[in-house]
Amino acid sequence: MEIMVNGEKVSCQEGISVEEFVVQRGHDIRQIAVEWNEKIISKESYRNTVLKEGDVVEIVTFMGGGC
Amino acid sequence: MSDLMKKEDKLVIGGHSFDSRFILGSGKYSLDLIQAAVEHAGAQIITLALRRANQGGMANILDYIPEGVTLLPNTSGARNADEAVRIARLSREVGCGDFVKIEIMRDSKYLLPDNAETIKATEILAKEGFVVMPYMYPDLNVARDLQNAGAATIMPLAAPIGSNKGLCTREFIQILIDEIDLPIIVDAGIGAPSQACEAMEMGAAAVMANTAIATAGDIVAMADSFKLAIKAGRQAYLSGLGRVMEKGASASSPLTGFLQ
Repeated sequence: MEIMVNGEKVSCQEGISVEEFVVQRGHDIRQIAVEWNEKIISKESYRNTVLKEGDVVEIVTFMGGGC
Repeated sequence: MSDLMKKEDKLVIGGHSFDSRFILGSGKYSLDLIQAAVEHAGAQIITLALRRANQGGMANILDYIPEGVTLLPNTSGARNADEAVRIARLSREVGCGDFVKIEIMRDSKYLLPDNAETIKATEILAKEGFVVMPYMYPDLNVARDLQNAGAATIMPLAAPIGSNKGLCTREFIQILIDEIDLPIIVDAGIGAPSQACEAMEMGAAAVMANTAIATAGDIVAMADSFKLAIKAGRQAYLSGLGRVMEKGASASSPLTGFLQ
């Protein structure tokens, strides 16, 4: 199935959870936040949130920034 | 040592207290210099930006920031209050505390803050329990509105972001320092330690800098220079600066006992 991740179409396996998906992409869960279909989800709910066709996911992290 | 110099002098923001009055930005550095810059700046607060994480397994800035340093995510990239609120909520969800620096810019040439949208975002986020530190164009009425909206500090710009031009808005920042009962933290445009020192002598509670250090010849030594300048400026402010004469001169040496 296909989902949108950070604005790009990505293929992933059916029934995968947010936790499995972000770990497969190499993210450290402690360093990211996830928005799933425009809703911010807590880290505790990554495991029980199952991705489905057409879902829109944003994965964000901190980078250098200042003024 | 005078009593003043022995006295404890903490910066208090939203109930959290800090010994350092230097807020360091983390933009435009190579990651391996961040730790040294933070340590030599003596900074206890460092700003960060939130962005899409398109690839995992890459070095993350969080691995380079010394433990115990308070993270201050900014909302850069937000063009209105709603976007700033979204970024702030996502930043909190990463799990690095409740501090947020609101930055809302509609203008990409001068990067000037949108004061009206900043007030809106401050109100929403303060109600959600964030320690809100809004970046703003120095305007007394706006600062009062931000205070009423629940801001923990006010962060007026000295000059356009990244310009290193110094205290272009000096007179208006002074009005905020004199009239607003919140820490006034001079943010953006400070390009040299002397300017940071001057802001502190004026009574600013703290100074934020990034580009001045990131674009210096020796980043770590410049971070240290800023630390010393901010400390000197703060102590000078607390000491009470000597008076300025409008006209004429006042001899410092005795006017008697001259050689004939």
